[in-house]
Amino acid sequence: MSENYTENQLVRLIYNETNLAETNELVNIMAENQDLMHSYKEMKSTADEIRSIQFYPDPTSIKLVMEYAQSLHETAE
Amino acid sequence: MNVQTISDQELIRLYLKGNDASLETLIKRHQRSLYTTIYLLVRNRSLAEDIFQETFIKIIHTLKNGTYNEEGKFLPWAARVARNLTIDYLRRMKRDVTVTDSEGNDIFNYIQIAEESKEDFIIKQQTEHNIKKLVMMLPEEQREVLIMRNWGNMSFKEIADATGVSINTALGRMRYALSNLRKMLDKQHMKA
Repeated sequence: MSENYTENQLVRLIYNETNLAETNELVNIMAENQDLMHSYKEMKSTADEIRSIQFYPDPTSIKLVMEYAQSLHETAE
Repeated sequence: MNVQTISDQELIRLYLKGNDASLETLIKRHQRSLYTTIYLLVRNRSLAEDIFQETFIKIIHTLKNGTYNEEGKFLPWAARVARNLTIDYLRRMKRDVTVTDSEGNDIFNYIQIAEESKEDFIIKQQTEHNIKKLVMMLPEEQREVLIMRNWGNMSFKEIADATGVSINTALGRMRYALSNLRKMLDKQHMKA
């Protein structure tokens, strides 16, 4: 199994896309490979950090969408 | 009835029966994810507002036409709509996606500061601001995968399908994105 392939699977693990068997396999591989364990920890901490980024639209945008939705009812009537 | 516990599918069903409040709940539930997805792709506050509105207008039309069939997976579908509209906008404007824009700094007005000291708040502001800048410095292909997975809630398979690459390419791009961000963050910490 190539290192790149395994690291790609670690990305899936970080984002909870692995099934139980895959998770167990990756955990076992990491237990025997400190470099992969290090990569996992680094990628996981980075992924956790970037999750803090969040933006909200201006409330006017939501108001305009709702007005548009309302206008569709009026047109239909 | 507690609207927070109603599923997206149920909100859509209620909206199609004429309950506009359900649509508003749906929009507000996903505004952060969708707006963040759009804003990080276009890096321009005003353009992001336009695309956000257009995304929901398109969603409304799709729902009304009865062509929506992504059961239980509203957000990834909506993120795909937003991404496609963003690409259309950028193409129309003949705009290079790598152009940077200083808009958007007012996002910190929205950060919840309850139960945080002013100092904690300032540190948090600086950290988030730095990470945001670093995300925007990533190569476009890596940034796109990062955005669609983190805020669009799309699986790597869905991202691969939407961007026309293999799942391993999508995973590889994410791996490079995380690795590049880590290097940039470490560099920043060393400077600090």
